[in-house]
Amino acid sequence: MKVNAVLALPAALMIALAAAITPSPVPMISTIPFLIGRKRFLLLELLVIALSAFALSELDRFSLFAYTERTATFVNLYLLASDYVDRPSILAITGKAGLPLIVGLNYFPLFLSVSSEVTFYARIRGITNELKKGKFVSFFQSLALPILVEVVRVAENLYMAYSLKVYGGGVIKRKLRVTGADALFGAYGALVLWLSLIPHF
Amino acid sequence: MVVINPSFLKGEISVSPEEIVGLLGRSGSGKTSIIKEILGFGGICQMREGRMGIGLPPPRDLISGVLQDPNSQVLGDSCEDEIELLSMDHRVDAAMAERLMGKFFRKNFFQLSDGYKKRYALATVMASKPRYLFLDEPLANLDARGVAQILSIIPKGSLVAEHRVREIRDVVDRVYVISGKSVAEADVDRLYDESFLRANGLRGFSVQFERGSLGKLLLDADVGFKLEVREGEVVGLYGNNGSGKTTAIKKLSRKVYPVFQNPDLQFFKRTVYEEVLDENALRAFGLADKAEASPFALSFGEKMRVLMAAAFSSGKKVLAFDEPTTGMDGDAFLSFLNAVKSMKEQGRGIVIATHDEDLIALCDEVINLESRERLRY
Repeated sequence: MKVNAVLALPAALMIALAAAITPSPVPMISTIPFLIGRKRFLLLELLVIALSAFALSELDRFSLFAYTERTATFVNLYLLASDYVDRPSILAITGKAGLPLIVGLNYFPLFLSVSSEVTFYARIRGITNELKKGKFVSFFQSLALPILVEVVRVAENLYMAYSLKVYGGGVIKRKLRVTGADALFGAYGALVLWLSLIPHF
Repeated sequence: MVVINPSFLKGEISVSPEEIVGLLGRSGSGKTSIIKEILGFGGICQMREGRMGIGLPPPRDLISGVLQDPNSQVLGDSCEDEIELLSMDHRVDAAMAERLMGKFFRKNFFQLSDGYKKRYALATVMASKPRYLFLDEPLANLDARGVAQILSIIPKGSLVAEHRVREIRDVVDRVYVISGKSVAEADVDRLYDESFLRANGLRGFSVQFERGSLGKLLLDADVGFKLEVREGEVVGLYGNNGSGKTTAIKKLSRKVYPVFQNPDLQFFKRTVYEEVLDENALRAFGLADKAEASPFALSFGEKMRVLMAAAFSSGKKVLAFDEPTTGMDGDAFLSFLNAVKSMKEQGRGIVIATHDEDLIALCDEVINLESRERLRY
């Protein structure tokens, strides 16, 4: 299912705003049901949240847990936008300025697959042994090297593909049709913001 | 007709709207650079065709192109999505794209097979109806089915830079070959001449490989099927893309030294020496003069040699290669055969996952992953 950016993007912005200005867990919780299809990611995220909550409470710093919630909310919103937002409707609102956003949303699966491949190759090449030896900087440098090279290569190719494919004079306006599902998304974002602003909710 | 003078080569290339033209040459000879120059990225290439100027990017409605890696050329979620995006920028023939993609028109790009990913890249460019199309290695990494899916839609007015001579020689009307610092037209019939192919570093020639005697058992594994490898033995896992070759190699990764397809994702160090850590291996694989170079800055064939040298120096008795000949020219292919020969002489066992029929000549046993048939030579 794809939803129109006219209401989906403001809804996402309202949830992001709720996460940024309140310590409420509502924004983070509100994004989780939409990630049921991404079981591995969801499990990993819940594990990180649980570990963070445990470590911060042990260190008597639980007030910092709001930052974990915020990060999880922003990451989840990016994934939700990648999965659900109708790309041409973004262009219809923003014109060509919206293309980087579209590209950013499209390339999440590619970078996820590159990161997972690099991690696998690092493990079989014994690069992860550097972690066991306590060489954290060396480990992260080794891991970052192929990912950075790939990001630069993809960015260069994307620039060329963009220049080849989008050469017209301007954006031809498209009529935007807002459906009931789009309206529901908009209302959902407003509801999350409202609930987050209620003290102690 | 468009006439191109590459900035770094002597000679010119011409393409007319009624023909498909091949561009062949060794890895690193400049095929990709020519395509990028023509498309307006990189050096200044002189072109003559109606309203084109020198040093300016060509009009995109006249000249367009498709780069080698389809994964980094996608602007939409699906072909349908991208065509809708493009239609907001300029006129496109959506029906043509839908016809080219068939039932996969609405499917998410990242869920397509390799053949259809390439077809997506072609369809989204062809829908804008450029008069000339410049394609960089459109058949790279495709199995026979994927090759057929692409060759059937390459339009007239295309220049195809390729190293897979056997696959394109029946499709092209004319061919150019880059040799040293010049590019010149060659007779298409010469692409059937083995001495011509070898002399120009092109693939497509047949190979003979001596099979020695086999030693003791080195590997006995179950990777969804039984896999045994002996000293000096080469076992081939043969099948189309998606038949489970890479998965089988991944399952073996704790027992063997595996080398996978994309070399750039398998380099973790700044220099070739740090990757290989063995001067003898560097010499054996012709990399001694590259020891201080960054592995990322090498040509594809050299990158594969770095990975093979690292595998060679790892001390592992069984080495596994996943599609090792992808992107290899004739010289790199011969160099790979020599590397396999020296590994066999050392008593190493080798597993090769491939859909490249040329590699079958190396194998003592071939397991067809689709029919599960085993052939011993």
